Amino acid sequence: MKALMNAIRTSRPGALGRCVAVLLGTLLLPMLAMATPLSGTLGSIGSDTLGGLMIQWGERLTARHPQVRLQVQASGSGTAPPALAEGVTRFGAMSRPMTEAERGEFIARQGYPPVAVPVALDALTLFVHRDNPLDSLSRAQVEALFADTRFCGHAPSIERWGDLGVDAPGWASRGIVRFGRNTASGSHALFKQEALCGGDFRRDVNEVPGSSAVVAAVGRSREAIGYAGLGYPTAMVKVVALRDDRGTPRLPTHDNVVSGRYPLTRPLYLYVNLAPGESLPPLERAFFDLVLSPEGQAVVARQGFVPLPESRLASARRALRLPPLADVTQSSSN
Amino acid sequence: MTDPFVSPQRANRRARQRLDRLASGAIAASGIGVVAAVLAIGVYLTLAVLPLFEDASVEVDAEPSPATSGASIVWLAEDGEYWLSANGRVFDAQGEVTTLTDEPRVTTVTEASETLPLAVGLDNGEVSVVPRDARGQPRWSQATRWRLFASAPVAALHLQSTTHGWALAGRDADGQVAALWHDGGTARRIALPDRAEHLALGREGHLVMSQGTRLTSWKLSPDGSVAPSARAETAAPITALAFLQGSRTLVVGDAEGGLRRWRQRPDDQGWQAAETPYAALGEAPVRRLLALPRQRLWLALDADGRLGLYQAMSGQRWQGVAPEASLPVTLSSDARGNRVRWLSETGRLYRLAVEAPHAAVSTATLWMPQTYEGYASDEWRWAAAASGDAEPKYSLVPLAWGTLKAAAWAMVFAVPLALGAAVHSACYMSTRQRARLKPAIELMEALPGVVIGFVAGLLVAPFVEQHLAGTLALFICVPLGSVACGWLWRRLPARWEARLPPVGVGVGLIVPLALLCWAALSVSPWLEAWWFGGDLRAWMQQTLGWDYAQRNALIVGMAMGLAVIPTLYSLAEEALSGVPRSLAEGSLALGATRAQTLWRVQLPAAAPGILAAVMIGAGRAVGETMIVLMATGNTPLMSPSLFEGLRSLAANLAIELPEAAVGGTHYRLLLLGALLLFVFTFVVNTLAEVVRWRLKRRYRRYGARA
Repeated sequence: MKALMNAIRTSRPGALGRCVAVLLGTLLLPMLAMATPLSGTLGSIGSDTLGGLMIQWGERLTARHPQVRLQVQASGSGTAPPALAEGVTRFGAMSRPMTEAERGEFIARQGYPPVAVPVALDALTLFVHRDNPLDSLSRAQVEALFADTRFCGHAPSIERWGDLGVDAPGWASRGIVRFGRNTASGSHALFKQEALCGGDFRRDVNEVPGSSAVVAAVGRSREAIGYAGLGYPTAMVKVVALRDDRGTPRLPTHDNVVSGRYPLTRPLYLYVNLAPGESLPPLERAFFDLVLSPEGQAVVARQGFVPLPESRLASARRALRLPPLADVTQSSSN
Repeated sequence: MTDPFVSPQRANRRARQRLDRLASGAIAASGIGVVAAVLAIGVYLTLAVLPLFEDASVEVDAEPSPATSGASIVWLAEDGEYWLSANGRVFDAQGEVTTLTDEPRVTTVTEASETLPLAVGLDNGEVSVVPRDARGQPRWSQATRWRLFASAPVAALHLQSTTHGWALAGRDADGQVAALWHDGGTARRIALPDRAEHLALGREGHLVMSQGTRLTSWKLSPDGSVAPSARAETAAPITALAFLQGSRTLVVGDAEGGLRRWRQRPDDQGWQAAETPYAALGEAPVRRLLALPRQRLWLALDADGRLGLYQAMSGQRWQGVAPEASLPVTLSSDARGNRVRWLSETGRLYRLAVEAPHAAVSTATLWMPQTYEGYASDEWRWAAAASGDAEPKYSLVPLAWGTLKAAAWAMVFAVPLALGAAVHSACYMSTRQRARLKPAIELMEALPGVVIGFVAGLLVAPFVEQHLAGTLALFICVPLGSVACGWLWRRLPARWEARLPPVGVGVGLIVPLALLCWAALSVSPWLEAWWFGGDLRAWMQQTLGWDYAQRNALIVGMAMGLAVIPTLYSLAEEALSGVPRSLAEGSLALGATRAQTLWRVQLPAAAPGILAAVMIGAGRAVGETMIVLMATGNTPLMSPSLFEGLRSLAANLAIELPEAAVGGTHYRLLLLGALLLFVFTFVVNTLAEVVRWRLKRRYRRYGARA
């Protein structure tokens, strides 16, 4: 009897404790794990065009996970590949695809290629001063305006507004002042690739750091023309339509960009250092989950860029092993 | 026992001596530290730049390994070597990977590239095209078969990507040529009406063929048609052809060992041979050309077994002996272009390592004009941040030109103003006035370059653009007006001067000058309308052929002049006021006027010091970054015009260094620019200091306080 009592006395608390522990374990641990807030700082180096978007996404990320900060260094797409290859940052924003040389450099350092995640669509836009009567340009004219080489067409070089058919009084004999982005920017590289067919810029194209600086410079000079990203129009400038192969002028509107009818369209990328077979660390995962969600894409639209179409969004999520979008909307609505 | 009166003094003295030694040691150490830091920068830059001028090399592995039995083709992928045997089996280092084909035997394969599909030519006239996944791995299971020839075996194959798919061109043993154009779903076969011994396929269906001394080029179209675009004759029969990256340069080797670069004409009307051939390997025919995927390098092999490494711009970089005298069965490179595999007829595999990271740089490419792709003539160009297939252009001349141009125009603005101010304050002002003026001017030095650049680029540049005639009128009116005001002031009756307050002299000059500026600005539109048809810029362009850029040397000259003035002024003033009083007083006592004394005595005496001031000012202007960066459009032009922009070495460094891959050619070239700036300012400043030091010694001889 005494022994039994002893046994009960000794075993009871143990058994109880074990039960409680198991209960706690089964119930609380996942809750604890869920409740452990994400914290830390993410760093991104790269495109100036994407800079504004990155900051907005960073703010939203902080709203979702209050202890997460995103540090954005936006000094040009060309700055992302060296930083990625050196391992300074886990992801870099680029407004153009990496070149073979940059990719090779990354592979040489890290042993595997980086993953390119498209996050938004952009179009290079040509701006003139708001008083300029010019409405549209053909591709060959764009090349003749900005390039020394003729790799796309064979249009004679254009020195005056009159050469473009602008015959309003006072315009025909006016010279042309050209503005563009600096060499570190993806806009520069993409314009060179797409609009000049890989040719060389004229040497008198003024290189300005920053898309808004291009627009500002064009707005201040009546003779100016310049190119920049899509999200920067001001009241001082006018967007010039580009004529497609059939001669139809196309403005960089949402529909024309998504359908690719506007010729100078490009995806904006985040390049991620992700070893094959690995999945993203939680911080990066949370960030990409946000960027590739309807909420993140709404930011894209608000910044003046064009959101990714559904299909590309889905394939980008698949590439990063994020849950498909339908689940995300459910879980976020819960 | 120690003496209570002596001991504290002695202890005190010892402490002071110790402190003195300590202080002089610390001062010496910091001095040496500064010199060491400057030297360290120089040494670092030199070390970073030196690899640019290292020789290229091609190392052949001493021990060839016997290739897997029956291997006929070898290539390198990201993850190692692959062999394809004549009976259609694919091997890697571990063993057999897959079987591509059983029945027809493999005869040839395209040069491997990570981004292009792999095409394999078969002995029944078919080709098998293997796509690659995103990581560059061939997807063997998705290989597709296409018929190129009715039955003849495929002897040579070339494949290139097009906008929507790929195009390939092949040749059979008889020289029949056929091509395939693949556009998404199906491939169209295109038969060419001409025979060819050698083929090269470029971007977007540009096909070049050679037969004897005849070089023909063709344009393949997606709709299955083919059009001849040009033909040319060479002096000696062509024995090898290769396109370089981007397909705008063709390398042609001939039977006499000659190697020549052909460029696509700027108007796209066929091909044009470079005037001078590359240094030849020997007299024997060139047998094989292998274009390496990066840096516009290629390997050339001649019939005597000589092997050479060439670069499109800098020419021959290396020459040596091939591992075997007989021609290789396959010669292929990896996607980075620094490992080459050579499979000999006897079945031995040689591994060649190409070490030429900066082959595109030579003294000639840096400093001499070059004919680049797409240009009709020789040019000095800087476009080092080339992306994609664009040809990088590494001439430092436009940048050096821009640097010197900006500095020269800045000096044109700064020297008269700063020297005038220095002469005035050193020779004409009272000590009290000088004590107020000098710190005020020197305070200008504290203005950050960014602020000056910002104001110049975003406020002054648009203003000058809109009021160009007025601005130019100011440059004429202000100096003339100052002289006229001074003359008028002299003419005024002396009693007026007596009535005015002492500051009257200044007011007497400034008020009329301000009025004059206002008048010049407001009258100039009428003058412009009257003389230049209302638009000075259009007139300049039509009559004088001068272009006007909004951000130009005029703006940078004014802005940088402003930044240089304090340095110039304070050094020149020091030199002038250091001239011993006895000299000037002697001259005045002998009856010379103040102006005569200034011109004949004070200025000549201080001339070396003024020269030193100008040199140090120029050194500052050459190294200035932010003002040039913001006030010019950074256009690497080579015109002396005041109305066109420029790009300086320092601004170029600031713009491009963040994007340059560390250790790459572009990066090292930027550091070469930095080294040039460093050496220039170092030499100029050292010279200037030597001049100043000798001047001080000379003054001391006259008994002045130095």
